[in-house]
Amino acid sequence: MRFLCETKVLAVEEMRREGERRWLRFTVPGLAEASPGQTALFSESRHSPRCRIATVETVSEERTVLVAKCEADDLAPEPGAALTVWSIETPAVSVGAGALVVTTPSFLYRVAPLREHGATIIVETPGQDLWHDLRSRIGEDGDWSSVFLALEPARLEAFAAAFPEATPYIFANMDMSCGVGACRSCHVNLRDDREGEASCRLGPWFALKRVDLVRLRFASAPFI
Amino acid sequence: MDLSVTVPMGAGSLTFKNPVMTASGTFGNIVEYLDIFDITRLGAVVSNSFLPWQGEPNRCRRFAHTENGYLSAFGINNMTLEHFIAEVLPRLPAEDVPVFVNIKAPTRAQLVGMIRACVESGRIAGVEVNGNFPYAGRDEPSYWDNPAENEAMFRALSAAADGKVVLWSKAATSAKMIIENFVSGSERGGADGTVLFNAIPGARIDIERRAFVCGSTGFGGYSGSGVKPFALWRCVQAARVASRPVIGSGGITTAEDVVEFIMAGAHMVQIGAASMSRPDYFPRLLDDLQALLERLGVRSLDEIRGCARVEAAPEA
Repeated sequence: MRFLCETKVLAVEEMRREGERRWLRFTVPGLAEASPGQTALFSESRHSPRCRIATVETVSEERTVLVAKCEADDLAPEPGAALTVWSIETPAVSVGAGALVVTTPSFLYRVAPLREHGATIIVETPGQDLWHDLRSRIGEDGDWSSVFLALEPARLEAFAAAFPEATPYIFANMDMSCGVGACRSCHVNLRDDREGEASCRLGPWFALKRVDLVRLRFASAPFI
Repeated sequence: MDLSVTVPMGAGSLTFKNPVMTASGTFGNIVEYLDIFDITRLGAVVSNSFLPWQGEPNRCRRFAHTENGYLSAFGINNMTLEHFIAEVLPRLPAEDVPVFVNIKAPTRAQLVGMIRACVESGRIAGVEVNGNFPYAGRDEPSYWDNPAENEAMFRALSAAADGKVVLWSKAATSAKMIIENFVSGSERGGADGTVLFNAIPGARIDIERRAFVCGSTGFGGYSGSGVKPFALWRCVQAARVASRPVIGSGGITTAEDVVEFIMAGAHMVQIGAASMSRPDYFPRLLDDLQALLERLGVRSLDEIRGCARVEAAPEA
């Protein structure tokens, strides 16, 4: 983890609402060191029972936009609130130029900024045969090592059944509380390591073959 | 200002530089924080719970935010104590900050074996025996269900500790537990002190999905500032009967909370949920505590320990 800056919220905008959950955009000055698509950790100056995670959406010299999910009882920071921001990932795998990222509208906010790094983003649309499209792009025996799937866990299970030999990476970033890998709330159940791995430290991308998908489904909040 | 605290360790003693400790289950296996802040500023550090077997993360949603705190259901998710001693402990600055481990096991013999392993390590300062043990099955009583059993168990455990590590009992948080009986029973058995609080049972329901939000049984442990008034009351009750140190915990968030628990009679305090509010929580808290005690004119914690008194108008 790396300290990024102390900053202040300039503006807050509700991006989406779904039941009790809200996705909010925070505009803050500074944070020029951040990178689009990166996961950040932020805390407010007042006491809150946990720090929270955000996705860096855009970065310019003057302003950075973060997107964060808030539960119904989260008091979202208001304009003027002081924030401390850390970078929390030392990712085992990074998405770069040439990568193909497959996602749904729900996940899009987490991966859309990766376009800035040269990734191609495919967003599943209603009625689309996503598996057919993937077969067309990659081929039955193609190279899956630059394919990244940001899909709901049940869809990942369906993918694994449809493509038993495929070896893409999957997005397995879960609810977090401490952001340093200590609390175990975001540990991903792995097939080759019973302790699992902290998604806040090494995530969000894990090799599909390593992850226990059934357990991921039960351990994940809806629309992570 | 002297923030140091001395506690018994068998016939000897152990001195901490200040009363602030981490709490088990919220600070990983300590090693995760080595590059976050200088952990040697703390009074002591406590690992996650160890069982006699290798754990794995629970197969359910393990964390949910709720009013004034959170629900957690991490389960038996840690490495073994042997692995910790062999691989992690050598990386910790155990000479500069006392390292405590938290242990659980279904049998007394297993607990004895784990304490012996801690003693043999030569680098573990203390062991807390976690009374919150919901994994043994219905036929295995919790450690605290029977005060006589609790006393007998601590007699065996203190013999294993042999005054070479601090031995604390850690209370479960059940409405059924009478804390005074637990503290007295543990002390009669030879415990050097008692940690007074653990997460309390809690639940939350997602009304859109008509489903419990956290835990494989629908329930989890509730931690956070919401439990502080109950925990503080419990600290007062325990301190009244204790002849050895009580370690306050439960919802402690600010430096003011730390002072409240010491005024209620605690020697040390353990802080868990609040430490997740930000990675640099502990150094900020220690700075706040120093400043607060200076403002209050406190020169040593002995001056204020257990000093809180009842103020009531005299009868007419």
